[in-house]
Amino acid sequence: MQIELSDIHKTYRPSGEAPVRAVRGVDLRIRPGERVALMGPSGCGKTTLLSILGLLARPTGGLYRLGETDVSALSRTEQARCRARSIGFVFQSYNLLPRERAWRNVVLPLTFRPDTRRVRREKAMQALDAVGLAHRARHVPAQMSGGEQQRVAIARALIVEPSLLIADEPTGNLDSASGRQVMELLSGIANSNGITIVMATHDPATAAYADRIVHMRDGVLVTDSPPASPAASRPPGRASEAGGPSRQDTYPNGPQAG
Amino acid sequence: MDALYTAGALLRELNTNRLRRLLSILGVIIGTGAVISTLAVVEGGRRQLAAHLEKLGVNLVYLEDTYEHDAAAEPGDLERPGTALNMPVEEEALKAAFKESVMLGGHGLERAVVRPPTLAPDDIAFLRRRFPEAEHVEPQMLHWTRIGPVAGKPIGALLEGSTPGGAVVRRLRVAAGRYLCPLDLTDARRVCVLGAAMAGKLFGATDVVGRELSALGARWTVVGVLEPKGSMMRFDYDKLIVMPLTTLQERTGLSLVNGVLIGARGTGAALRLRRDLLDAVLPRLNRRKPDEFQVFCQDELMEQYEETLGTFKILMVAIAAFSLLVSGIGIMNIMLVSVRERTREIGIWKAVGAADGDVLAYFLGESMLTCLLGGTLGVLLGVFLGAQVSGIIAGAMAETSGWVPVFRIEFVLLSFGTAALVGLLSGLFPAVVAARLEPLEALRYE
Repeated sequence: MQIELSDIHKTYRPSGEAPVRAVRGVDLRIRPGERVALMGPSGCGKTTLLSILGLLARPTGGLYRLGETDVSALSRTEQARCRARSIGFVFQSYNLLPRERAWRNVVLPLTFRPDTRRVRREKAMQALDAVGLAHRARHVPAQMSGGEQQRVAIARALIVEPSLLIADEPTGNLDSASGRQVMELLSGIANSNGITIVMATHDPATAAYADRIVHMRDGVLVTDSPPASPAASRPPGRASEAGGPSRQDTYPNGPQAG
Repeated sequence: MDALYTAGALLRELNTNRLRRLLSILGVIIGTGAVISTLAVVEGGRRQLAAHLEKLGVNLVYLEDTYEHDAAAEPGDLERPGTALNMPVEEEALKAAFKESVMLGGHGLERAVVRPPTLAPDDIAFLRRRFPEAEHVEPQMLHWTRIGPVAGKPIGALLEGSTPGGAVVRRLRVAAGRYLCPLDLTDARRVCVLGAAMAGKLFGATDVVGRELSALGARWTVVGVLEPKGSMMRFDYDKLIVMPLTTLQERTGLSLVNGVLIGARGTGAALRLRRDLLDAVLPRLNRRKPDEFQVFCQDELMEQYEETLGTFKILMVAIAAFSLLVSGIGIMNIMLVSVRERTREIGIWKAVGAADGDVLAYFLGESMLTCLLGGTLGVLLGVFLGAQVSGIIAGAMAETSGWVPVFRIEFVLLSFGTAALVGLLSGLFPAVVAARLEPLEALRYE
């Protein structure tokens, strides 16, 4: 799904404190299936921008079009339905329900949609299988390693077959081996399903899985370019698919072409 | 949100923080327990009274003249209350009867029953004409006197002058011999029917029919013994001595009677009849105040019971309502804590697609389920309490039949409904708080 942000602003107004202008006029267009890494120092507005993209927060100004829809004009309930239908989330701290078993965590997004229970359960098991954790279906998060928990979270994000996957520091809490495993998985599944990924990261190795790296500073985009040095471990990309015209001409072709 | 998934999450949630939750629903438990036990005890008593009245005779209306004579007055001061009746005043006989009743009374209850008779045969005839819909209009005369078995020690007893219909309308049954027959009255025979206890007192248990007793200077043949019946409308039927009205009038020299037993057709009819009786009789007897008559009616007894216990019920319901209110506030508090503790979880739900309505429904469900749990425990408590209270009442009344609490399904449904309502109301505010959370802020909540 095509993503189009124009002049997005987000100002927080904490009571009794000065307003915080977290995002100050961002224009960004992301093509379907594109993988974008947001980089920048802490507090630069990455997470806020991701939240706006994921419909978890409303911009205070600007236009956000997701596909053909102006999603910034949707009601809270419509936004919730849109999240349930089209958007998957992967967080730095996994954000699994601590008391629910893995399969129930994975099935959670489907409970907001009118599938039958049998279909749901099958889909949950398939999703767990896809992240290699079918054998952990009946474990609760505390019984799993960080990497396993993040893979459960990926299964949960992908079970709705989203068109957009939002990942906020997906490898931030993981050692490099687990991080790589998680990123392989994420990009592999997203790749085969044509899912657009927008992720925030500090880690260049993680950012290297993206087709495009956007740097932010003080709430604005500063640079927009393909990864400087494509990781050797990158899976065969969809470079040919990503070759369409882009608003950002610094990115004429897939990074694999480089 | 999917019902089954939600149910699983809710049950898991109920299982955590069990002590906290139990404490918060204590008020619901006590409230529903109080409601259930009160309703069950009252209902049990109502059924018992209904059964009792059924035994005594259905649809009986009893008109009694309760004009207050000054009991302390000398017999000479006794005057027939102001009356428009055209009838001879049997002054001497009346004085004698009154004197004797004052002398012999002294047992409080019995004495109160025996007022000098004031209703004339005309009055009875008037009632028969005025209320053709009544199945029976049977005069009743009461007379306290000394009686004794032949060659025995005299005892005080209540004589009742009655008619054959008096047995029908009151459902008196004879255990041995027979009741009064029309010929007993037309011939003014000296026969009598004894209440069960009186028969035993006078003659012992066996072969009472055919024996004789002396009363009012004459000998009377016992022709029948009544089945034990118990008390009703201040009479102890088991201690009665029933005689033909005509014979009793002849021996006492009185033509007046104390009351009238009226049998109505159907339950509602008794209440109607009772109302009309007062309207019709008061002007005729030229009385000013309705309380100069007492009109008893079984439906009315039932009403009185409901009225008396209504107060009790209101009190208990007030206690229950209060404890439910307090409990509701406690549950609201616990729910607010629960919402705060689970803010991050709510954020996760919202991120993966829960709408405000889903979150609202979940927390309303949680508080209602909590309250229904309280309601269930309360019903159990109520069943236990009901049995205990009924046992205490039955013990205090020395009732061998026992006072059994009656638990109707409506009571249980009412309790559950109330508990659910408390859950709904106390959960509403916390649920709204949860539903209104911004997804991003909820996710970031530490």
